[in-house]
Amino acid sequence: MKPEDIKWRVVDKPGETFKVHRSIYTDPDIYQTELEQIYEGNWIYVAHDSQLPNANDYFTTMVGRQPVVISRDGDGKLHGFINACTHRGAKICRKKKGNAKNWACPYHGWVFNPQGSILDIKSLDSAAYPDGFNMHDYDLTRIKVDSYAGFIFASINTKVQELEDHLAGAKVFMDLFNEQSADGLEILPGTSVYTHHGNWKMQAENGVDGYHVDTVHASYFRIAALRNERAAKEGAEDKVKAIDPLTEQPRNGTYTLGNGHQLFWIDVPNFRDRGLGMEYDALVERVGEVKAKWMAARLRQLVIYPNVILFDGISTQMRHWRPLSQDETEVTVNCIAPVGEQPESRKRRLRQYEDFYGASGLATPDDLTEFDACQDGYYGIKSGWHDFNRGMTRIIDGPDDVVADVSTEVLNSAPHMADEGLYHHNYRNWLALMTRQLPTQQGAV
Amino acid sequence: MAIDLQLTAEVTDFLLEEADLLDKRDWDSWLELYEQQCLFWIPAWEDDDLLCEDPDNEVSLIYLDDKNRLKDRVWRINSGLSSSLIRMPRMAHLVSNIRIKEATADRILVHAKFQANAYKLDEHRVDFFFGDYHYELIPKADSFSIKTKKVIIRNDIIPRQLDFFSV
Repeated sequence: MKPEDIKWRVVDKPGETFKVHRSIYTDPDIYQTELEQIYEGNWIYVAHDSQLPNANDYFTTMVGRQPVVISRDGDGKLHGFINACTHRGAKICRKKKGNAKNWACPYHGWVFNPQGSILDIKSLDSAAYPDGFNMHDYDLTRIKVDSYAGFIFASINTKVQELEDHLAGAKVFMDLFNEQSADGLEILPGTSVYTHHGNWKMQAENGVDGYHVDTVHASYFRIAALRNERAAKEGAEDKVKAIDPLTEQPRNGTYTLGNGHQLFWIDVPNFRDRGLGMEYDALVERVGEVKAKWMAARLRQLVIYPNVILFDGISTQMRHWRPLSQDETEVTVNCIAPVGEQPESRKRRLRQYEDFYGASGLATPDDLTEFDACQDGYYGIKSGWHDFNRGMTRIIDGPDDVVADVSTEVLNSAPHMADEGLYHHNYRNWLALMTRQLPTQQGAV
Repeated sequence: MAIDLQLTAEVTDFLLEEADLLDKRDWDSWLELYEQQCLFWIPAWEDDDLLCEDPDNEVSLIYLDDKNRLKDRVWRINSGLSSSLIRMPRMAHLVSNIRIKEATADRILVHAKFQANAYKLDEHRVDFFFGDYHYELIPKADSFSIKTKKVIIRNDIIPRQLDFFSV
């Protein structure tokens, strides 16, 4: 798409108005351009270290529409490839994950190692290949892979900027997650995948949307209150102890962190009911008061643009998604936890996780229903514009007093979680990604 | 093992009654089938053939270890506060392959297969889950009550929502 076909869809007049046109959620040409410019031009979250911990482990997933395999070689180094045989294109690794010293393509038997190098072509001696044929031209097609704080990202674009530059102000908050145990984090067994009708961008928007929480999740917060009443009246044991940051109206806000990354936070009154909160005193001793408060007592939802949210509040969740079409999205969710936490904390974390998150919880299905309803509404194109003006007059340049303790890498701050200023950053970044010229397109008109 | 036809017939009727109450959305009668100290459990899958069987260390899709938590979910439907539950699917639960694995005076362990069909009105779409039911039933004077219902969903990519009534 030509930049001028995209630019009109974002109306950005600082201090006056910020609007996006709803065709960005429904237009198939926009969707195709997003796949090329964002999903295949940018870093995409693919896995956590703990999902391929050992030498020769591999993990298969998708980057945008492209199948990839992430591997760990004998030295512990990560590699990534398009999961397609260089011979005739069959997927090489067929399982979700596994461990193998080399990979034989199940179609014609070509063999590769976890570094992607070709080791053998079946019946090469009798192949009658032309003179210029060199087996070593047929290594698997490499993609970029790197990790930060245990979180693994991949990019189809081999000239993408360095991962740490891409992560920008998000790094501090990834560290605050990862350092909750001296031994880092682990994905707990049990993956859930769900699908919904609704454009992928709503996943990134909603993960930092403080404005929807009390309406969309009214039933969840009412149930949390009912459990308290039941416990007081009947002495019934509350085994979940749902995290309820809304009742006491604690301090909250949002930050924009660069390259589309954003954070939404709320102080949690009953944080000692959280898995990490149950071990709070030991945590303070290890990391100090300031970091301990950020880790355990402050709900944080960090969007790392474009496809993952690190949730640390109600419980802890890694939620990442891939677009299936402009109208359909597939979401993969895992519970992630500090390595070596106490059994009671682990159990509490799991019960709180299952209670709220996932398509089988008491909250996520209501979000998904709203995404569906929005996607239907977006086709009412006579009503064409989104309004992102809430909080426009109280946007703070740079870090506010709350975040200044841990980070200076904050573009701007908002003192209310319901403010929509962070979407200005989201869609400015979107527009920049959509209209840039990728290295692979140089020379193209 | 000799098959106790009388008991099998009684257990079958009980399981079909539960399926029917779910289809009719008669939640209060459905709740009456459960013991106060009950477990309604849907484990998650870790990999192709590896089910998460340790709920204190691994993720479950649903793990409700008390009847009050079943009541929470019924309350949520009745509350009108959950947009995902406003337009409920029309459902037909099919239950078959019912086999008694163990029967004593105190408990009866039952395995069955299910397919729970859902017609979703707002999406104009049919979805279904299928898999296994593992029940622990408590014999009562003229019926049974449910101590444990473990549901193994074999097609576990979830189209938007999975709740107790979906399986």
